[in-house]
Amino acid sequence: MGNIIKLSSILFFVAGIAAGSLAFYNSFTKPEIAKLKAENETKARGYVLQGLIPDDQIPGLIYEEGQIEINGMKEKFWKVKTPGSNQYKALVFLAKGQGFSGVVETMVATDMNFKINGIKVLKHTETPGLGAEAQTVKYGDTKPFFEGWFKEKNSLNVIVEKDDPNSADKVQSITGATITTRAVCNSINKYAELVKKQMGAVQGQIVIDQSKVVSVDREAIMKARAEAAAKAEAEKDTTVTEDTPEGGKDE
Amino acid sequence: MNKLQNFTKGFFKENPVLVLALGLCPSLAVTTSIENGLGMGMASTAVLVGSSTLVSMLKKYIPGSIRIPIFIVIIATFVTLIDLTLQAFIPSLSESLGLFIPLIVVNCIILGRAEAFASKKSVLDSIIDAIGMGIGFTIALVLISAVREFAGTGALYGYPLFQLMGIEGFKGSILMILPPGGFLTMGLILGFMQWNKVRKAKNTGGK
Repeated sequence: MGNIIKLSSILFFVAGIAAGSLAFYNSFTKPEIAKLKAENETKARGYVLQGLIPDDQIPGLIYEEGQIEINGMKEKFWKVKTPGSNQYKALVFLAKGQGFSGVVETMVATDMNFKINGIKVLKHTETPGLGAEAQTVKYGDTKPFFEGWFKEKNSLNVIVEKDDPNSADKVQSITGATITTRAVCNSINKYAELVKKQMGAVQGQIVIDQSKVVSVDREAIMKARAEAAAKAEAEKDTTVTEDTPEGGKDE
Repeated sequence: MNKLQNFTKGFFKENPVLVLALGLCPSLAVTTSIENGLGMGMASTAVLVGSSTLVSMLKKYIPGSIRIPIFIVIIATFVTLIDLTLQAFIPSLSESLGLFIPLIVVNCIILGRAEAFASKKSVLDSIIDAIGMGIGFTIALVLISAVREFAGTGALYGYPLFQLMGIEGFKGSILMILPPGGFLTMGLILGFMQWNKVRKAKNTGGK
């Protein structure tokens, strides 16, 4: 019995020292990490606003914080204006969605009509060579090729080509990584919708040209797609050989 | 065994991954590109040196029956230190290794060296052994990731060799970047190491 107490107290002591030294070290690195995170966020916001706002004005932009509620969690979005102006120029939000093997975080900038100006995948844990291509810069390029696909699309309605080949806002999917592409599209839709709602709630202060905001009934699209899939399934039952999905694994 | 032998044994003769078959999990998981392999190898080496030194220093005071939990606490502390350091000062590496840094805690090379070597030998020997083993681990990771990155994407350390040479149209095999590629590559390299060992033993036996 005495032995157990002795051993436990030694373990307790060792763990205590470990925890203490970690807490001590954490006090040094915490402000650094927070600073880096804030810097990255500002940099990413400036990056996705390129083109919409002249480069020399980007560092001086005023980001007014707004809040949206998603799955019970409060998240931020930003209303962007230039100093000395009362008009909002752009909206920026960080869309998060479940990808193939984890959450994909995408910084998105849209104009006031929710047309996408630029996106940037900030964080993901997708497979290298497949989903991770969302961040890959092709040799000779300066920006990841994936980002360019989203330019000028309607953020409320951007969709993977496979899901709706007729949409004007379709985006190609990354080879072998449809799930990742879909995650990015869906998260943008979801967040844009919420931001739009939020902006509508404070409409007294800002002007949204509602005629240009096209909101598409996503549920109807999903329903039609499910029906089509069911039909295809029914047809498949009549054939003996089973089709294997092309490419085998699709992320 | 002299100090030099102690240092170099980890490179090939007792390479932790290729001969001792320790730490296979990170060797399969992170070796999709040379950059990741190198980063993981260096981070593990840092943890290995830190924990081996401390374990060797404290070996007299650690009761035998609870040595494993104490080793784990020491290792976990070092891993967290490295994790925080990377996040604060080398964010790019921290981003690419992300999830795998905390997993160094359960890397059996580190626990293995603490148990088999550091808890029995002098501090200096333990440090030498840790650095040697760390370098050996890094060599193994870089070797595996070089094969996988080249076969999977046609690039080495991020440089697309074929495109640099002006050859267009090379498409890597995605299989090599996915887990099966890791198993295949590691199996082939392990097989080659064994074949080489047997061949050497035969040659020396013949003389």
